[in-house]
Amino acid sequence: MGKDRVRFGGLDMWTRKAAIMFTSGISLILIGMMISNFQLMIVGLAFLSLLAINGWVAGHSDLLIERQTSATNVYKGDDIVVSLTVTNKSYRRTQQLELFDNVPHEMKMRKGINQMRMNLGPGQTAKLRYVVRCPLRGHYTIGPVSVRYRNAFNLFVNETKMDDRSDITVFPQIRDIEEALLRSDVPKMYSGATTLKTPGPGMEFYALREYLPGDSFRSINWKALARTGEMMVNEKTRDAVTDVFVIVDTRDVSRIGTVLKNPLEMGTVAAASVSNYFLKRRDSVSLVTYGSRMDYLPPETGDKQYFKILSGLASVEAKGSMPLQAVTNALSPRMSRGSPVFIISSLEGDGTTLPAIRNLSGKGHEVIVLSPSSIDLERLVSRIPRMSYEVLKLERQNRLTAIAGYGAKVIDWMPDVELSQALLQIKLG
Amino acid sequence: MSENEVPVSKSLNIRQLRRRWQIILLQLISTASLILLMQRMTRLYGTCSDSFIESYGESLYWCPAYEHTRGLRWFEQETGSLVLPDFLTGLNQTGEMTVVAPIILCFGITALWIYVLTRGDSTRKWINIGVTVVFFAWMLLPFLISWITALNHPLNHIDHLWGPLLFVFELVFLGVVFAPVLAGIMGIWGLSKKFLTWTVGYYLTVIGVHAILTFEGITESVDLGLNPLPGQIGEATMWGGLVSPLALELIEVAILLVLYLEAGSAVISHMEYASLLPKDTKRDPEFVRQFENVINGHLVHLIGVMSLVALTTAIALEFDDFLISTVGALSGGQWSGQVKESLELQLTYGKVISAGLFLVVVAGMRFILPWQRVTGIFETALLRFRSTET
Repeated sequence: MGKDRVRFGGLDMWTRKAAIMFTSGISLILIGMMISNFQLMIVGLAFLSLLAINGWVAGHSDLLIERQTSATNVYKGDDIVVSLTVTNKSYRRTQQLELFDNVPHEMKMRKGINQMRMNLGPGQTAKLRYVVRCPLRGHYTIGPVSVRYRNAFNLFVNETKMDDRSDITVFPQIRDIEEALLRSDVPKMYSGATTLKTPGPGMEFYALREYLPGDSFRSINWKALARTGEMMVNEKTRDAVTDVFVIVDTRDVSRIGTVLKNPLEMGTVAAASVSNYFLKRRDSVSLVTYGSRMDYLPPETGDKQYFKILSGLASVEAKGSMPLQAVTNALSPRMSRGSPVFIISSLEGDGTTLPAIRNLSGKGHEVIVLSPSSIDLERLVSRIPRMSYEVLKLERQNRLTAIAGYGAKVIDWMPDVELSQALLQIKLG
Repeated sequence: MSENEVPVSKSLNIRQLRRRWQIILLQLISTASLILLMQRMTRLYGTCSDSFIESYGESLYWCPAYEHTRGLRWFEQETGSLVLPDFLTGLNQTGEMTVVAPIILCFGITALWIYVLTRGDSTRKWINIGVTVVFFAWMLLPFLISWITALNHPLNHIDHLWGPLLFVFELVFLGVVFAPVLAGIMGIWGLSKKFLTWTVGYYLTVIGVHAILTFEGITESVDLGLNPLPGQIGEATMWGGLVSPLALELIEVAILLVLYLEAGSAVISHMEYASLLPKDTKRDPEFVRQFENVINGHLVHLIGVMSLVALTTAIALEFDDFLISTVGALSGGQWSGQVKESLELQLTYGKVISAGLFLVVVAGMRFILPWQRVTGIFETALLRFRSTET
C-alpha cells in the first residue's frame, strides 16, 4: 500500500494550441495595425484575452493519492487488483485532472483502466480500480502515478508525479507433480536430519491405525491386537530427508523460442514445481542457476526457502555462457553424497555437459536431466527446413542418448507437453 | 469496474453520450455560435461600397462581398436561369430570411453524411459510387445521347454540358457563404476536428482577405467595390459607455469564432476520452461521476471564461480612454493637456498599445487576485451546508 501527497506547483506549461493562439493573436494585431483593420486587431485581442483569463484558472491542488494492491507476490498468469484513491485535501476545485498509473508493459490490463479524468471538489474523493494480469515472471513496479492538470480549453498543462511505487514479484507457475513420479529415497547422510512428522517409511513410531489390505505383516502391532481384538498396524515417521539440487541453465541460449515459451521459462516452471514438491515433503532443496555467473542457494527446507527459490527464479534472465562443468566442479564439495541432482537445460552450445554429468553420476548422484527441446521451441518462431530439423533433432537425440549412457535419467521435454507428462518419462524409462 | 453499475442510459457509451444534455448543450452552443457568426459576418462584410453601387445605377451589380443572393441574382441575369430552385437558395426571400433555406440544406446534408458514416464499409462504398455515377450521368448522358442519336444533324450538342457547369458555378456562389457553415455543422455533429478548424481558418481568411482588399493602398490600384470597415471604432455608447456599436459587432465576431471552436472541440475531446475507455468502465459509477464533474466544469468554464473574455476585450479597447482621462485628471500641466487632446492615442496604434497594456495587467492579476481560493472557500462552505442539511 502506498500513500503520497501531491501538490501542484510552479507555472503551467503552454500547450501547442496556446502557443499557436498566442502567435496568431500577436500576428493578427500587428497585421491589423499595419492595414488599419479593427476586426483583425480585435480577433487578435480576443485570442490574447482568452489566454490571459485562462491563466487565472490553475490546477493548484493538494491531492492525497493512495494505492492498494491485492498482492505483492503472485504466480505467473495471476491477476492483481490495483485500487487508487484520490482525495482533494485542499479547499479548491482541482479542475480537470488526468490521473495515470504507470503499469509495466509486460502486464496486461484485464479489467478497468489505469487512467481517469476527474474534477474533484474540495474534500471529494475518486476511486480508480483496475485488474492486471502478470503473464511474465520477474520483478515489476507499478507506479509512479502521473497527475496532469489540463486547462478546460487545453491551453495549459501541469504534470506532476507521485513517486510512490508498488513492487510486484511474479513467480514462475507451480505445476502439480504426482508423488509417484518423483522419488527421493536417498537418506541424508550428515547429522541434523529433520524429524518429519508425516507418516512414511522410517524408523520412529508415528501412530497406530487400523489394518488395511496390503499392509505388511511385520507392521502389525500384536500387543494392540491382543488388547483390543482388532488388527492394528504401527505407522512410522518418514525419516528420509534429502538434499535435492536443482540446477537451472539460464545461459543466453535458453531464450530460444517465444517470450512465453522458451527453455528458460519452461525451466523456471520445472524448477519451481520440483522444488515445491520436495519442500512439501520437508526435503532440503538447493537452487543453482548459471548463465553469466553462478548463483547458489544452499539447501534448506521450509517456507522461507520456498520463497527464496521462487524469488531467485523470478529474477533470472537469459544471459552469459557459463559451462555446466564449471558449475558442477564448484558445487561438488557442497553436495552431500548421493543427493539427487536435477539439471534443467536445453543442453545446447555447451561441450562440457557430458563430462559434467559423467562426473556427477560417478560420484553416486542420481542425475535427472530435464531438457526442453530448443529445436522444437525455435520452430515456434522461425521456419526450419525439414532436412535441417531432422539433422538437428538427430544430433540432439544422440546427445541425450550419450547422457543416458552415463546413468542419468534423461527427459526430452517437448514444448507442447505438460511438465507432469514429461516427468512421466522417468517412470517409463 | 465497481460491483454496482449505472443504468445503460447513464453509461459512457457513445450512443448514450450523444443524448446527454451536457453534450447536446455544447453542440447547440457551438451550432448557434456558428450561425450567429455567419449572420454577423454577412452583416459586416456582405455589402458593396456606396460608390460601387452608385456606379451601377439601376442595373444589377456584384462585388465579392460575403453574401450569396447578390451573386446568384447577377449570375441568373447573365445566364438566363439557375439550376437550383429559388426556395433552396433563398432567392425568394429578403433580408436575413435568405439564409434560412441554405442553412436547413446544410443540416440535411450533415444528417445524410452522418447516416452514411454510420453505415458499414460496403454500404458506404456503394453510396459513394451511386452518388458519383448519378452526378456524372446527369452531367454527361444528355450530351452523349443527343450527340449519338443526332450525329448527322448540325446541332450544337455542347449546350447539354452547360447545365451541369452552371450548377457547379451556383454551388461556388452558394459555397462562399455556406461552405464554412456546412463544414462547421459537420464538424460539430459529425465530431470532426478537421472541419472545425477548417471553418475557423476559413472565416479568418475571409476577414483577412476583406481587410487586404479594402486597404487603402490596394483600393487605390484595384477597387473591387467592397465596403471597408470604418477607420474609427466610434463613440462608446453601449454597455454603460464601455463599447461602441461597431466594436460590439467586431467583438461579437471574435467571441463567436472562439466560442464555436471551443464548444465544438470540447464535445470531440470528451467523446474521444469516453471512446477510449474499456467497455466495463463505461458503466462504472466512479467513471460516470467524474465524467459528469469534468463536463459540468467545462460548461461552467466555457460560459464564465467566454463572458470574461468578451468583457476584457471590450474594456481593453476602451482602456486608452481611461489612461488619457487619468493622465488628464492627475495633473493640470501642459503635457497632460496635450495627452488629453492627442488624437494619435485614440487611433489604431494608441488603442492597441493600451489594450495590450491592459491585457498584461489582466494576465498578471493571476498572481494578485486569489479568486480561485475565494471560489474554493465558497464551494467548501456550500458542501458543508449541504452535508448538514442531509
